[in-house]
Amino acid sequence: MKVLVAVKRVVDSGIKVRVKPDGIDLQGVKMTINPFCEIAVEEAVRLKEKKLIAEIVAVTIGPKQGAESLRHALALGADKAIHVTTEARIDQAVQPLDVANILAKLVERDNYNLVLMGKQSIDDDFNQTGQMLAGLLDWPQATFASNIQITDGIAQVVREIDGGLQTVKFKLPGVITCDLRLNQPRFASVPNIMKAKSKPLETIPLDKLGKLHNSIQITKTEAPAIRKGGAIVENVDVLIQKLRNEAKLF
Amino acid sequence: MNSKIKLAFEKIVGTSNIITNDLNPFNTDWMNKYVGSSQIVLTPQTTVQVSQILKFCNENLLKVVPQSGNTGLVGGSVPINDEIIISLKKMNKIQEFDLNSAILTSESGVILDNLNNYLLQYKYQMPWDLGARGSCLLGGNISTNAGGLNVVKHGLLRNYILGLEVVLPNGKILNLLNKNRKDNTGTDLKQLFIGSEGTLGIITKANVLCIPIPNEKKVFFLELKSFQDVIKVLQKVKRNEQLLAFEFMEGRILYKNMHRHNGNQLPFQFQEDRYYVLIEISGQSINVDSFSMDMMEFTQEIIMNQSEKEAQFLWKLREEIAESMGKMGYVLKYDVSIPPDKFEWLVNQIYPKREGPFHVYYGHVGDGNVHINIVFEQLEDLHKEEDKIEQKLFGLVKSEGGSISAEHGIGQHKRKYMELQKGKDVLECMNEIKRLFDPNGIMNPNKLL
Repeated sequence: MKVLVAVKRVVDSGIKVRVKPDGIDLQGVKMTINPFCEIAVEEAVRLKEKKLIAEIVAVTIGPKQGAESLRHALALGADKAIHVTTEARIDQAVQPLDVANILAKLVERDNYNLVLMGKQSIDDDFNQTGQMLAGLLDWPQATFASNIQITDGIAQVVREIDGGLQTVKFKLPGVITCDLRLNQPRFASVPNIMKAKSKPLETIPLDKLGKLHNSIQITKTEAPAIRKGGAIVENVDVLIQKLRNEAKLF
Repeated sequence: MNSKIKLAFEKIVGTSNIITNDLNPFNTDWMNKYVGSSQIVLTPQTTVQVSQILKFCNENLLKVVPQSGNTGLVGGSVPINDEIIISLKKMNKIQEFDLNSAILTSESGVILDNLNNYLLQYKYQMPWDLGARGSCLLGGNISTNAGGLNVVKHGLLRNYILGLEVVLPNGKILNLLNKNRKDNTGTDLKQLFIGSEGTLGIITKANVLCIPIPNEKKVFFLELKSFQDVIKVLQKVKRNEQLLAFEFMEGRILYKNMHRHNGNQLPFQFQEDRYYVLIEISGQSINVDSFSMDMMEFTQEIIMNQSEKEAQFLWKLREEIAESMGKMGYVLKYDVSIPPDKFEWLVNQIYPKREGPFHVYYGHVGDGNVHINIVFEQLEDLHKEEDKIEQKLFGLVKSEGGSISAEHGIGQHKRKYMELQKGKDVLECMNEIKRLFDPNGIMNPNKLL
């Protein structure tokens, strides 16, 4: 069984972002693999350790530095990597439908049995790509996975949904997007990081697989308003007065 | 509190800068080991106010304790009796940063973290770092020559203080401020105040040489089979100018602390009989591969952080040791300098076969500085064993040419061992200098000397 794991490179969640009028300032900023994508890689590695899958291929879309996230995935245990190269801003111009179309092309080319992805990326929080990909491929999908079992080509996935947990079952191939409680990714070991350098990494220019349509335009980026101090009110009358006159609620 | 005295202080600093209630946090040290009984805390806001306070106290033979962040570990920053506490926390103006010379000028009551936050915009940072960064103040760091995590790369705090403004015990303001990188104009008086733990005067301002924030950093965590392996790795990587921190920890404490991290991925399944090292490297453009090859000569068990979050978690494993031991009972803490390859030997001399109360050694092995913590379940047992342990430990340290206090200082804790450490002649010289600056003995009495 062959698994494709899609990973996105995002601004490191441990650092403070700086907001510019045209978006987040990426100049000199530390970037790392999207946390949910890392969980997807870890899950693929665990499935391979259980001998349920034979090969893991990691793919990313982005500029030259994107290869670092692929090296990270390879160090965690992926076997091969594909780098779809583009100079476009990954946090703005690389959008879900375009990504899904590109991934669909790769699935058709390489015949994967399973696609694992993070449920969403922490920069745009779209939570759409996995679902769109399944639609384009006409494959079953299970999103927000907190548990994955694979037996004889059947995937059984526990999903975290608003009301609690839902278990779905489907025959592979399919798309599964991964949620926070699925697993805790391991640390990358230095010997594995060194070995990852000699694992195969294929580079494909984006226009060979698809196009970026920029159908969603970002019109404004601003930092959240600084929270003003609250006030304790004496009684309900004062509260109503403040809601009416200051908060202008009614 | 004598009302005439209180009135005099009111005239100097105003009632808003006098605290006479809820003095517990000022009277008690961070470890809850040393408790004084001061009746009054003053929070001056200017150097002139500090000067007037000290002049008044000196004339009236009133003893004082200068206090910064009160994060010290040897009882140096709290009163022993009812000394007047002079807190520097309101002297918190950062004056300027000269980008050409990388020299920061600041009042001494600024929190270390805040200095770093201020310097961020210039892409510079303070040249020292320690766990108390969110609470400790510049003045306290300077008066104790604080050590910390990056001495192995950046050297001592002393080397980065280019100038000071000090108020002497008689109220005289000594202007030793200097914004020149080089200044060879006579006896370097400021070195007397750096590390003298508030016994010679109060530091009110400083000129600090800052360092650029490195572009890249990486944190490694290693598992080694023996302490000798720790030393071998240290000897190899110490030659690499990228080395920023080299902290070692015994498996026994990491193993014990594993329950604090349920659900979190650990770098290793910690084992009690292994030794662990946290290595951090930094630079404008780091070469991870060559550094990795150096480490891999000694072990394959090495992980590297991939994100900021992972780096913070790995550092947490090291930085929580002191606090976690504090939760286990009553802790005797030691901080000695001794050749690094003798750390294991030293601990085995105190507790042969490592029997006895739970004890751990860890720390800045790159600087030859080991922290030894011993936990007692009952306070009486600690008091019973304390003198015996210290005499043995400090005697051994002295016989190896080491230091009874690498970085924590003397304070109240190690005062009685000063003659053992320094010898009669040196100690007498230190006392002469103390008498010169503080003839009435009002400055932080019964500390250090």
